[in-house]
Amino acid sequence: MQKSLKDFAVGQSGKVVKVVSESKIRRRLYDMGVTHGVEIKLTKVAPMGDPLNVELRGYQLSLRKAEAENVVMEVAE
Amino acid sequence: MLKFCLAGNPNSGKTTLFNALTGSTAHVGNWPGVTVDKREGVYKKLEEKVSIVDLPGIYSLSPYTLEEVVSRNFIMDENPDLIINIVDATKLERNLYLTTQLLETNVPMVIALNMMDTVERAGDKIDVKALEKAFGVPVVEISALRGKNINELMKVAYEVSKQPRKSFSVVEHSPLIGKAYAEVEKLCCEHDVDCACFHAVKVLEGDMLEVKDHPHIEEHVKEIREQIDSSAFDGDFEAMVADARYQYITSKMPSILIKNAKQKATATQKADKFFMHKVWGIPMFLVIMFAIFHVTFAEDFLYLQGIFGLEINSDFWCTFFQIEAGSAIPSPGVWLQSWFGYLMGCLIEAIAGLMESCPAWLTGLVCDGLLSGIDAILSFLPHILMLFLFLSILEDTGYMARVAFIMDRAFRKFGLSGKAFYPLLMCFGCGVPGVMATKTLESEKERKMTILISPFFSCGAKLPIWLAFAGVLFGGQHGDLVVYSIYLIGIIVAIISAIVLKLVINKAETAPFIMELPDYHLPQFKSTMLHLWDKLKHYLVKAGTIIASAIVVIWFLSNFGFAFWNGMVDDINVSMLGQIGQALQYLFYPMGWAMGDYGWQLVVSSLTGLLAKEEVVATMEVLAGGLGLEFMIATMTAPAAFSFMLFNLLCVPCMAMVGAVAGELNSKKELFKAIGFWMLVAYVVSAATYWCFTYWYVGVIVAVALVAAFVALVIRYKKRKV
Amino acid sequence: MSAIEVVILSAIVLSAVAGVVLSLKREKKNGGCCGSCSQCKSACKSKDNQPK
Repeated sequence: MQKSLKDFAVGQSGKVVKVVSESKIRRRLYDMGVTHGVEIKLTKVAPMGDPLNVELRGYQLSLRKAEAENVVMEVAE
Repeated sequence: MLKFCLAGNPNSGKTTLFNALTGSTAHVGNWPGVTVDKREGVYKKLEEKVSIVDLPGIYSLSPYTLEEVVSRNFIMDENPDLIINIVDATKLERNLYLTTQLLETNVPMVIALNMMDTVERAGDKIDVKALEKAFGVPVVEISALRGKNINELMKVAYEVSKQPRKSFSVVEHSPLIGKAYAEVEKLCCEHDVDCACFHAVKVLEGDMLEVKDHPHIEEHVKEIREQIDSSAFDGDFEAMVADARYQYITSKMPSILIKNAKQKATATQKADKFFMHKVWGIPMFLVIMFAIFHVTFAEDFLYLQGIFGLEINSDFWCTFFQIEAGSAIPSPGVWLQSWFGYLMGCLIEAIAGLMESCPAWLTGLVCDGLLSGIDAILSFLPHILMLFLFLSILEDTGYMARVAFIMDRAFRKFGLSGKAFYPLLMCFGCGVPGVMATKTLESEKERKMTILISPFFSCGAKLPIWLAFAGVLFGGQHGDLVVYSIYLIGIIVAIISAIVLKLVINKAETAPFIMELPDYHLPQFKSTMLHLWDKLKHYLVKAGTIIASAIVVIWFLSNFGFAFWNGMVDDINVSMLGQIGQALQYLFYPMGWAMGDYGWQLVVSSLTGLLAKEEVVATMEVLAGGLGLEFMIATMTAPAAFSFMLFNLLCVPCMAMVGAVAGELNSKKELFKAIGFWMLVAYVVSAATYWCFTYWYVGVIVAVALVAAFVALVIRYKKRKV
Repeated sequence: MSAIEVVILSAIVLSAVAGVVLSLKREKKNGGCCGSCSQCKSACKSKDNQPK
């Protein structure tokens, strides 16, 4: 099942299928390791539901919902 | 002299290594992006002296952020002899991404594998040989923090720097674009482009700068690009290259990193459950901050007297704590300050004794002017150092980066991103580096807003003012609350102004917030002490130069009439300063505090704050005319006192900061607007505080008016949005 | 006050005024930095580096 990283629940993980944001943000996400096929786990949500904190490639990355919205994920079983 | 540069991801320990190599004391903090600019030092333990350049931390060599531009320009244009690529072993994959880019230059390179101890503690293993094989450069394990292996690193680096290195790109291994890359590289070689590897990748990516530099190649490259199926990436070649790099790294990872089968939750994960809790995160931050203020400023430590009725009566303990019988146990900060004040008092008395035979005016100048003025500032030193000790510990552990995370949503409501939190946090120390740190903010409007509200974050130099008042207001019993409330009010005013400014200058535009959260680590004794030493030096240099000079001038103006050759005047009101002050006094009447017995003295004190904010207290002490500034403060009502403090908090900051703001805004007109804005805010807030708290019904009317205005603004804003 | 005292006093006060002016000038030259602590130093140096 595919859904946006934004809609993940805490603790849920999945693999990146596609990043569809405008090029500057996409480039930044790629630099930080959010590339196709990488496994991402949503670990924390800040108070008031935004930003999100995810774990990938062994480190912690925080990003806003606005940016996470553009990351299309394949949810892990 | 050889030139080596340190390049690596933010927060990977470059500056720590730099300090260890060069013996310097550059500022280190546990959040990404402490180093904004490159800095240089010298390493002397080799046959040749080596100049070491610490570059700002970057995730990539693409020229999108200030840090990336600085690092890239250095590596490409200034011909370093070697790159020491410092790699955080705990975040290997992401760190190696930058490594793949650095390999494309033809500068010799060594990988310094940092933080191996943490990796080993987790039970993981890194195969250094496999790493060397995958990237073709020597790898040295180090611990920058403990200085372990760094001389070995430099030995290897020295040898490597003597041989040229053939650049290579991992992109050539990509099944999707490897072929295209090879073709572009061949093209670059044919056109005699230096550093063909690096430029070939950049041209393939369609990097704006590169396309401009090599227009003749671009045409061929267009054809090459068209032959590739780029639909999965919407034709974005930068993304495809980035993907190719990570694919290469991922394919090599199984042989390099051997993970421990049993993965247990790290300390960072456990601590984050607590500090970044969805509900408790923000209240916890406020409680932690209050605890710090309490330990530093409270007269009644842990409320032992208030709650348990604990009192100190024995002579020994009274002397030990420097308190009167029947008082509560003071907090460590207050206790230290009492002793420090006592010792300073002894010193001043001794000097006064020595000067008995001098003429009266000279004794007055030295004792009532210079010494008491400087004493007024220095006696707060223990408090100030203690507060900064705690703040620097919070920063060092990595907690402050979490605060940026939990506050981002709130910040965004005011048109700022969580990233603006760092410069503003620095402003609690000193506004000058704070304002300069706004350079890292990507959006122009956000930068301007951050600069405008930065003086509202009470800096270290203003602290003596709050402390002087905290010791007297409410019988001196609630010093911690007084100081804490001033800091909070400053933040609240900053937030309100940000909301108003957002409506005026910033119409919904927020920079993205994609940020790494650093791991927690224990505060480092050495770096914490360095922070404190810095603070102390900054404070003493200022006290010794500008403040001491200004005190002499103030003392002179307040003890002599316009015909100063006739000798000192008996009544301070007829002195030069007295007459000037009384003329200016009326301008300040609406704020309440200028109407009391010491009205003009307070006006003059506030004005001298423009030179340096510490000066306010020093001037008050000199102008109190031997009675001490405690007496001066005691004549004020609580609303008047708060009104005075808020005026000094919010109005135009010291000249140094105005200079820094002028440099960042880069326009006279903007600067005058900013100064006008600060004066307006200070005047309005301070007057409102006085009148609302002196007459309750005024408070009610103002509150209603404010709510109405706020609602009107919001409605207008919503309408405009639709 | 005797003439010599007036001269000494004037000299002290004038040098103090010069001290204030010089300190402010130094701050202005350094772009608002005190120029003695490391945080200031690194902030000052980065003045010329603006993103392209």
